[in-house]
Amino acid sequence: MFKKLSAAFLALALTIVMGPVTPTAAAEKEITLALWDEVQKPIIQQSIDKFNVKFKGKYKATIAQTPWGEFWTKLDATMPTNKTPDVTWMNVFLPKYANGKVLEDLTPYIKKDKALKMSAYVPGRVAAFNYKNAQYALPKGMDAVFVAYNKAIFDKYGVAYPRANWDWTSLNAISGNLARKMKAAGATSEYPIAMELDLQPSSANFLHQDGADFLTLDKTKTLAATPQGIATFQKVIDLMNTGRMAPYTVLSETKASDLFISGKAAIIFVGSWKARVLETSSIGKAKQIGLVQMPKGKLNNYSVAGGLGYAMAKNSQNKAGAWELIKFITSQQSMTNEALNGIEFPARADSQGAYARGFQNIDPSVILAATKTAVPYPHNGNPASLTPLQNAIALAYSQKAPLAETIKSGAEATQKLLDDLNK
Amino acid sequence: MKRFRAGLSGYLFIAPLFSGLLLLYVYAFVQNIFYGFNDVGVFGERTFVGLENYSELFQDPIFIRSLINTFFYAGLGVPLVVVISVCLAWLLNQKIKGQALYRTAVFIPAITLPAAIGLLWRWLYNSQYGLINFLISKLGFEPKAWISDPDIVRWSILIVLVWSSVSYMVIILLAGLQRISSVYYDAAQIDGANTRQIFFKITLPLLSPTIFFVAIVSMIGFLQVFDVIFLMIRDGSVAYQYASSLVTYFYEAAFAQNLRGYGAAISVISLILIFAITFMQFRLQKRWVHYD
Repeated sequence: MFKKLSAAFLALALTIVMGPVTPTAAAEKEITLALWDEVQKPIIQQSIDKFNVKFKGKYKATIAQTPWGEFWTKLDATMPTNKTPDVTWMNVFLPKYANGKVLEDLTPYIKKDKALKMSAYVPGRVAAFNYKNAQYALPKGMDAVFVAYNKAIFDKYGVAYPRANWDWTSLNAISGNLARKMKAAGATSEYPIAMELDLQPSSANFLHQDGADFLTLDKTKTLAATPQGIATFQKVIDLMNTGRMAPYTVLSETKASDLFISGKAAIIFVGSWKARVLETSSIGKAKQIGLVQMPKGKLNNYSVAGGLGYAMAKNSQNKAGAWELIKFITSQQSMTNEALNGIEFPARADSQGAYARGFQNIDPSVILAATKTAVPYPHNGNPASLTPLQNAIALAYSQKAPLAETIKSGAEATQKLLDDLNK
Repeated sequence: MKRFRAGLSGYLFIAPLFSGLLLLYVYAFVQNIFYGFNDVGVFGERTFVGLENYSELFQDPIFIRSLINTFFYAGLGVPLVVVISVCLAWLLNQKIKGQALYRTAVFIPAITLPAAIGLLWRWLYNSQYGLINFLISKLGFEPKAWISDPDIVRWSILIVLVWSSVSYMVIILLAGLQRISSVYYDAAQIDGANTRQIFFKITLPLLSPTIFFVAIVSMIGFLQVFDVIFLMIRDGSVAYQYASSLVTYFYEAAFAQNLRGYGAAISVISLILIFAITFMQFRLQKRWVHYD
């Protein structure tokens, strides 16, 4: 017995000392990719697997997924060190990282790489990751905002669906009509319109469409407190006060998209990042969801759009490999795969066609058309400078303070911070 | 030296814990105070600005509001917690049927994750589908927007804070009650004291050291309130500005807006506040706390 035990023990000890039996390729360099979305991870992993096959013996890439809530905190902590992920997702926060000098300028890589065609990417998305004449990321995808409506609610009240080229006058008429009929039917928790309180799928669009941008394209000014800006906020408040839109208290407790897919709201303004949610919802499967462009404001019906990109860490220990990875996961092959699986509307024209094939229940051509006219999401990567105005907008919508004064003082504070930044 | 040698093994034993404490608490504590005098960027780059963060703080309406709110939560919450938990502990100490069941029920919130408490109450409070509005409308009252109406959101937060901290305090007070020797009660009964007299003349004074502990601990807890507010109110709602406490505003400034130095200044103010109030409580205890 003792002999057997000691033999086993010896074998165990030897295994530990000798280490793994299979020889590892010492030449294979590790590359880490940081991202936050657990829904996208398995699809992106498919591209990573292909990358690892292609560069077998040379590079080995892995995904490090951190939930959105901690993603930026963790990135901020690791990027200045040599434990940084080599490649990371990047969004409108880019200026913060560029100014912090933790990102590699990709311009020389792009110049040297004869095979890479930058023209394949949507120009607006390339520009979005260009900061002070340096290209910091290659674009992944892009989004857009549009309108979804619940056909069943329209049919129930006998109201005609929104038409393709509608504007705010028709939005008012349609939602007023719905409001009247809902009231007559005694429906208490049903609303003609719902909107998210976050600026991206709502107010930022309305302001741009009226020519009163939350933040101008050059990111130096806010036009929110101009007479037109105040009028834009007023028209949203009017929707709430006339029963055309869910009241502020409801919108601040329940997401508009949840109200919509549970059949409580007839119309919502919604971003393409929710397309998958609409497609797979029960009202989506019942073919009840119609899509249409945003209603035209004073100037146009263009939506504001964000989108992700892949950036390289300046402290990456393997920049050549990181660059190969960035090119590979933004290639036609990888992006087409993401589009087919419906997780991303690609920022490269040669992959966009695949996106439409990912949907059976909603009409992706509306989303496609919306991306064509979309303008960059108004953010300067400096949350502190925009917060006073954001807080003022929240306060104004809640109607706990007079609209014009509130917006003016919020815009003034934000403008002052913007001026300081751009000095 | 000889004495140090003798104690060496002791120092070695506490070294792992103590080095962690030094690094994660003491060092961070000192660094935080230092950061309060600087503008600190996200990647550690900083410029010395002296007292600028502090002078800005006292002109910042949201900071002033957070400060007032923190006093509101602590000023109303601590007395409520003390009174309610003393009453509950006294009741649970009586010989009643189903005592274990009551004790368990009261203690459950103490072992529930704050995140679960926040999310659960968020649903209870929901103005459309919440159970609370459902019940009060059955009783004929107007339903309220508990967590989105800026005028009532602080009260809604206060209710949850008191509810969730009472249960833990009850357990401590219950232990305190059971420590009181029955000799005193027997003597009082022989002297003909009634229940009310016994409670006020014997139970309360002998329980006062425990009540004092409860007051200190819940005061510190209330001055640091964060999770309930953070979890119950949705981002982007104006109610978040109205319910903001010192710690939620610290989080907002340091991590949402990347103003690390400003955030550090807020936390220093909060530290001074907690220290001052706790110090005052210790000074005042001579007047009402009886150690036997």
